[in-house]
Amino acid sequence: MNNILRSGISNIIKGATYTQRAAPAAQIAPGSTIINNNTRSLGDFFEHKYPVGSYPLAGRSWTATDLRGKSFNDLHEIWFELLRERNKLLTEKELNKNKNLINPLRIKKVRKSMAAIKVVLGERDQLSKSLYLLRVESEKGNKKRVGELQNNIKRLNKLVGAVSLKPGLRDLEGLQDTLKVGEELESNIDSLVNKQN
Amino acid sequence: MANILNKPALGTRLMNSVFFPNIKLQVIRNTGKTFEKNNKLMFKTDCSVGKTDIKTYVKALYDVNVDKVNTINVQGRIKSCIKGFGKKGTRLNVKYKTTDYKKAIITVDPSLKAPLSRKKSTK
Repeated sequence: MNNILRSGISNIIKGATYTQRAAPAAQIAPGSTIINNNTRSLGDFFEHKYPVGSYPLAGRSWTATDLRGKSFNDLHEIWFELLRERNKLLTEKELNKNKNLINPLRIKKVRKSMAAIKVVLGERDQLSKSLYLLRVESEKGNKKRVGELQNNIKRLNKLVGAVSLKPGLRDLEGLQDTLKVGEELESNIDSLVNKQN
Repeated sequence: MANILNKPALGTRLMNSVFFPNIKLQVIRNTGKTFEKNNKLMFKTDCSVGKTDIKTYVKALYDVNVDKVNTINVQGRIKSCIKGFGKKGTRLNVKYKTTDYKKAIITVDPSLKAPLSRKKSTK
């Protein structure tokens, strides 16, 4: 079922085919699983002419739930495909009579899927920032703020999952569990100090 | 080498502008036909886009080395609202302005000469 949906989506992004680590092809971006067989040129600005009676088909746009499992490089590749698609659609709009597209909802679909990519990136940014703040606040000993941040991190951890946050920031991933403040330990120490006094 | 953990904001914002640029390039009418003669393509873009931006953008997306970029800022036209339709329409004193844009002309190596118009479908 999932594969059928994917094939529908790949119709939007022309030329890009979703394959899970298949045989290596001509162009593979480093660190991504998306393979593109088309040779790129300035001709990509122009769409081919459709015969009379047929019209360009398009599937649905990418949603945030589709993109959450993807790595940074995959998202980067998808973004570039969407840019190419949008440039092509805009030139088609310019070339056509009365500046009308045949399937005008395609532009909206591209915009929505670009927005979905930004949503996913924003979640990862929020996680990394809140992890950084947790370290700072736990050093200061601000317990109220630490509790808020830990709740926020719990919420974001479910969304982001086990994806690397950013290239070059793998150190932060290891800190997710180690940064937790042991409140039991602190209370035990306090009670020991009180007994001595 | 600075510690990345101490600068979380720096990492995120720079990444987004580098890996996720948001630039529109729209080919202006009839420039695809004259591309065979003079190796020049004309685009419409935002006013905030620079020459080096266009160079790197075209290289990244279309695998084409750009030799030269010329740009012109074009002011939007001032138009007046029209009430009614056809011959009955009367111009009102209310005026509005269309959006400004930047024309960008790129020149490409003569080895890349190719007809850049709509191809016929293979079906």
